[in-house]
Amino acid sequence: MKNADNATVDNNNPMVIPPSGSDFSFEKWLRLNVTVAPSVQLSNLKFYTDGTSGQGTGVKLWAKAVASYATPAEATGTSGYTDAFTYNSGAALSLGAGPFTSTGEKGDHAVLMQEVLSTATQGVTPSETITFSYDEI
Amino acid sequence: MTPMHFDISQDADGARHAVSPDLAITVLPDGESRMFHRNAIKKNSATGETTHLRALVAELNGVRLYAIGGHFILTTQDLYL
Repeated sequence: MKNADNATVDNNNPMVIPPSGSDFSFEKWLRLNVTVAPSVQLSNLKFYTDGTSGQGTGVKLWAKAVASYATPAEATGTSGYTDAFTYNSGAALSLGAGPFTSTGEKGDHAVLMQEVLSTATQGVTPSETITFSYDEI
Repeated sequence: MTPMHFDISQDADGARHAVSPDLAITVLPDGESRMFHRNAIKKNSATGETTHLRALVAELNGVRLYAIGGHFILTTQDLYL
C-alpha cells in the first residue's frame, strides 16, 4: 500500500505517519480474472485474510466489495469499509455467488486501502497474505 | 507445486466421480450430493507472489470430504483453504 496511483511493489511514495489524524493510501482494486474457462462454472467468490494483523500499532487495512469499477483514488476516510482482518476463512467477504462462466473478469472488486495513524511506528510493515477463493466444477 | 486436478463426472443414476491420475473418489446416489473444486489464490502483499491451493470437495447429505493433496478431511463444516 502506498501514496501513489500504481501497482509497483517498491518503497517509493511511502505512507506517512501524521502528527495527528490519519494518512490514507490509494485504493487497490482487485478482481478475479479468469484466463481459462471452467469446464462448467465458477461460483462462491470470496476474499479473506488470516484474521490477524501483523502490521503493528496504528496501521490498519480496510476492505470492501464494489460491483462497478471506478478509478482508484486516495481514500479520505473509512466510511463503507470494514477492517480487512475481520474477514477470515470462517467469515469471508463475498465477491459474488455466481455462477460465472467463460473467461474474463468476474464478480465484485475487492477494494483495499491502508490507514496509518499517528500512533504508528516508522519502518516497513511485515507482509500480509490475502486470499481469493472460488468454487469450480 | 501444481494443485491436484480431478475430472468430475456424473452417471445417469446420479453417482458422482472425481478422478485424478493418482486418486478416484465416488459418491453413491444415496441423497443430496455434489462435487466441486475449492480454489484459493493467496497473494503476498509485499512481494506480489501468488500461491494456488485446491481441494476436491465431495458432499453427501451435508457431510463433506475435502481432499487436499494426500490429506483428507471429513466434516460438516464449510472449510476455506
